[in-house]
Amino acid sequence: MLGKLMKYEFRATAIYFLPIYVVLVLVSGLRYVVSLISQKFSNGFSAFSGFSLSAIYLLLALGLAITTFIVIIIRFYKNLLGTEGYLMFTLPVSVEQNILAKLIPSVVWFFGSCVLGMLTIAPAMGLRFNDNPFTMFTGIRLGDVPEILLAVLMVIGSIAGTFLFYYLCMCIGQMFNSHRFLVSAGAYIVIQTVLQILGIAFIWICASSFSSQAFVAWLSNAFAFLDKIPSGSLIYLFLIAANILSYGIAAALFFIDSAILRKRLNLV
Amino acid sequence: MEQNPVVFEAKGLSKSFGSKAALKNINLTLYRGKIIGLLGPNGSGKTTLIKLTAGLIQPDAGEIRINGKPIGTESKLSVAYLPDKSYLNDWMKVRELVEMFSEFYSNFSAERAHKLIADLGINEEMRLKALSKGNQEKIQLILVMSRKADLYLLDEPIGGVDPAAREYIINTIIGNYDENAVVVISTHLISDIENILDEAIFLKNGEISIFDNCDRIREQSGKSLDGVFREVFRCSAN
Repeated sequence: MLGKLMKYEFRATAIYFLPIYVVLVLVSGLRYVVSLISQKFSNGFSAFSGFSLSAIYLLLALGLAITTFIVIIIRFYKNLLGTEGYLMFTLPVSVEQNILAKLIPSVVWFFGSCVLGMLTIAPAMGLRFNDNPFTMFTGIRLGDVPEILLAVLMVIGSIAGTFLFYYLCMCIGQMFNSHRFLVSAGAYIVIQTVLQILGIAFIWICASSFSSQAFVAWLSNAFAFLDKIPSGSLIYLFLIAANILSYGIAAALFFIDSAILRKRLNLV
Repeated sequence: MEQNPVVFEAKGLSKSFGSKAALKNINLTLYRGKIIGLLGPNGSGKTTLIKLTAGLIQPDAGEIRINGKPIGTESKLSVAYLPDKSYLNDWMKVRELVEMFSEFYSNFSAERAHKLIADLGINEEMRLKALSKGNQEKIQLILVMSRKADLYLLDEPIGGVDPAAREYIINTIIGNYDENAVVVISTHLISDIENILDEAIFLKNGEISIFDNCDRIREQSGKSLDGVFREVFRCSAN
């Protein structure tokens, strides 16, 4: 059932993303061609065209970033918590499947937008590759691949966590009978503020503790095992810990979102 | 396997919105093979009861069971729900909506849906938003009535439509529901559906004031259901 839900979600969201992707690639390609032409026939027109195309590209990229953010929020709000939710929550699927069917396509589109941006920004800015457009990747060694994969996984986990946090704010908002969008925005501000206060308090406590020799000694002792780990492996340890943290936060948010929609769903 | 004769059971069901009690301690059991009118004026709790049964809102107290099971993924397959508003993705084509219902509901008859749509003369390649409001409502009804459900929840299906459309809607309901199921029709336009109802539930200020066989209500009161409705709710206005 999750696959079926995702199929419809991809179809509903592709109409926003694909046209921008196509135009982005076209503008970037055109800019690349202009840069090749200006290499041989440099004149005011080619310089102006190149500058204009780069500016258009940047505007499109900004539009894509805004579209991604808005679509992710609107799709969850409208399709699950608005009148379309009357259908989605009466389909014989679980709440978890409904959330995942929104989350996974959102992460895919976000990731797709980032990858597309990475691949198109260099030619769109008029930077020329010598022979191979993938020159930027030739510096990567085979041994770096596991680290890169771990880093990519961590980014995906963090993105999922961020989206699930937006979902949480909307889930809180839908529990009220009126001003639901305002309550969602309020929940976002309040939770973010509380988290920032806690973060500052944590840093302050740590900073205060570092003035205590006993604490520093305890800390050195607790992390003494790090000295025994080869320096090349430390990056793995860091990435694994970061992955556990990002997926742990995402899992906790997913659990809370699901619980609210299962026990406190309020489609007025 | 023998079917449970009880399709719907509510025990001690209560729901409030803020300080307003929408339903107060509802106890109700519905048996198979009946068309039941859920009757009451606006604000009497009809839509709240239906939405609780569809799982779209949660009760403050009490519980609902469908075929003996609490509201959940399994019960949703047994319940065919028609809300009182447009709830379909209007960017989709009619054909795609039929495909969507076929994919999700194992008890959906695409063949029946295609036939009913063809009878209306609607082009399935049209997007829902390109259809008139009346035809959009009919497509919703067709999709819901093309399911072989145990419980049909139809919230105000004839509200706000012209008499010809009312006739079409009533005929579609009668012609397509599973006779072994329960059909709950919520309305305050009683005279239009009085003849097709087996039982009637009168909801008044969130409480059941009458729940009985329609013939018995008429016999005991000496009035039509419409007459009883006017009497019951005229009293509440005074």
